[in-house]
Amino acid sequence: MDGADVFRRYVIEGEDQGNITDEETLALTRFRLEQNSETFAIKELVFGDYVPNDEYTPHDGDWARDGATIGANKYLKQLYFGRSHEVPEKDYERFFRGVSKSKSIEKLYFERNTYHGGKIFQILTRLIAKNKNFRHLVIKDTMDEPSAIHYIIAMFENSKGSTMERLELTSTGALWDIVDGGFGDDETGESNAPLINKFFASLCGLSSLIHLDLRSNCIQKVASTALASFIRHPSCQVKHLNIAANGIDCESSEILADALSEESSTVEELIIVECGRIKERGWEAFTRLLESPHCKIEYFNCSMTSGGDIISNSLSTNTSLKKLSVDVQTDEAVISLVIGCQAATTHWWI
Amino acid sequence: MSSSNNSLVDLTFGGRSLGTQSYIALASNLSSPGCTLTRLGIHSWSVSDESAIVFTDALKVNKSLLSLSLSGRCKWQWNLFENALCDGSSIEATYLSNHTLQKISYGHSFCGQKTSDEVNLYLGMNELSSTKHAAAQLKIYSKHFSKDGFSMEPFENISLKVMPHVIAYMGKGGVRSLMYNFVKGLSFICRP
Repeated sequence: MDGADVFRRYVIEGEDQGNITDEETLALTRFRLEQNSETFAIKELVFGDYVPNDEYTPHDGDWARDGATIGANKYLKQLYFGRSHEVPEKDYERFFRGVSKSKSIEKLYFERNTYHGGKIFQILTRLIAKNKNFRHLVIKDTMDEPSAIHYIIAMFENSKGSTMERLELTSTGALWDIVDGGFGDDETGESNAPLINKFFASLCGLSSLIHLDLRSNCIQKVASTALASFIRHPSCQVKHLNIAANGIDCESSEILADALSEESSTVEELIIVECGRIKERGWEAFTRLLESPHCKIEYFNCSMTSGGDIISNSLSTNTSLKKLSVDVQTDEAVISLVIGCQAATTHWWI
Repeated sequence: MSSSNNSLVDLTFGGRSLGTQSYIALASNLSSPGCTLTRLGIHSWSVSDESAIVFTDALKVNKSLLSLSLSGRCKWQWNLFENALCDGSSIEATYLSNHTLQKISYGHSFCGQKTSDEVNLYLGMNELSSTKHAAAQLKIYSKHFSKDGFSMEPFENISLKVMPHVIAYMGKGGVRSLMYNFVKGLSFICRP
């Protein structure tokens, strides 16, 4: 298949792209990547069959060729890799060995992948550590490869000075080898404590990190203690922290709220949506956080929880919040909240 | 009032439907000149007519809210929102309507209910006008002078001293046909 011919037909002559075959799509993509010029540039490339927009590039198995082409390309910004079950281990590694040489990729997105043990993260360390354009890593809904977490930790440990700003590690239960998902409950969390501590310690080297998304990872006492230590670390610059859907309990809430209340905390956005186990004692801890004179939280989202009514009372002493999302159960809570954010002036003119 | 947080600009309520007292409290905040909210979300919009009136009356005088996000299952009181954005009962009432709000977004539950063209028109006027004064002027032209032909009725009892200001005001709109009709109608007002 001649990529130049496919380009001529579908791009220059405007043939209906609705009729394009998988073979032609792949040829066209390769042609554009191999030209490596602004005119033919591809900014975003999707491989795999589980991707956000279902527009992925079909493949013929020559992964090594495409990895090398992507690594050399100067214009590709985002690479998505979703559900890669069909890619053999060696091909997977060859592909990412090429990709790791990229100097243009800003975002890598993995979703529902099997990592064949996780060696690709060792390979990708080069990209994370050396590519000064790299900003955003997403590892979402990982499949059953618990050893991969060791490679991920090593990747972060060896990426000091990285320019990565956003890290999304969501629903990573499989990485921790825990059936219930994530960092585990009190029992399984304890047995995994050294690894969990090592993971959060590895983030301390990522000094450009400002967005940390840890949704759906079952953050309990061990993980919340490790996360609190990370928040307190002098190199932590995280401003946006998403710990939604983590089943955080009262004790974990107190541990996290205490760390976030300290003057050294840089967190400005806190999302704890769908955390049903926080209960009254936990919400009181978050209320103390919002009432703290050191509180820097500007956006607080605790919707789909029972905390709205308790949180509402803290607004009258909070001076940092700009954006608040809560579920309220009583009129009294709304009144308390509204009074808290109402200005003293009562006169009105038009 | 022992209030202190004047920095909140974005507030979203989820969970259960808000009660009448909640809407009264919200209305009190929205009608306060110190209101800082620029975005308000209510994800369980299910209001009685009384609450809707209280809320939209406050919306009428609010000068901060740019965006309102609503979702819920109830009859949609478009006429109240239309009235808050452009009260057509008199020129003065139109001038005193809300010229700030630029967007009302509706949740999925509102799908199937026909949106109001008038509300969308007035939101567009608010958004596209360079100043609130310009938005008010557009609404006055639209509500009082463009329907059923041009009427001089609003000017019949106006003092001659004020007339130069009225002419200047009409001229600022840049609508030539309006000025033409106005000058033509002056003879009707000024005849002995």
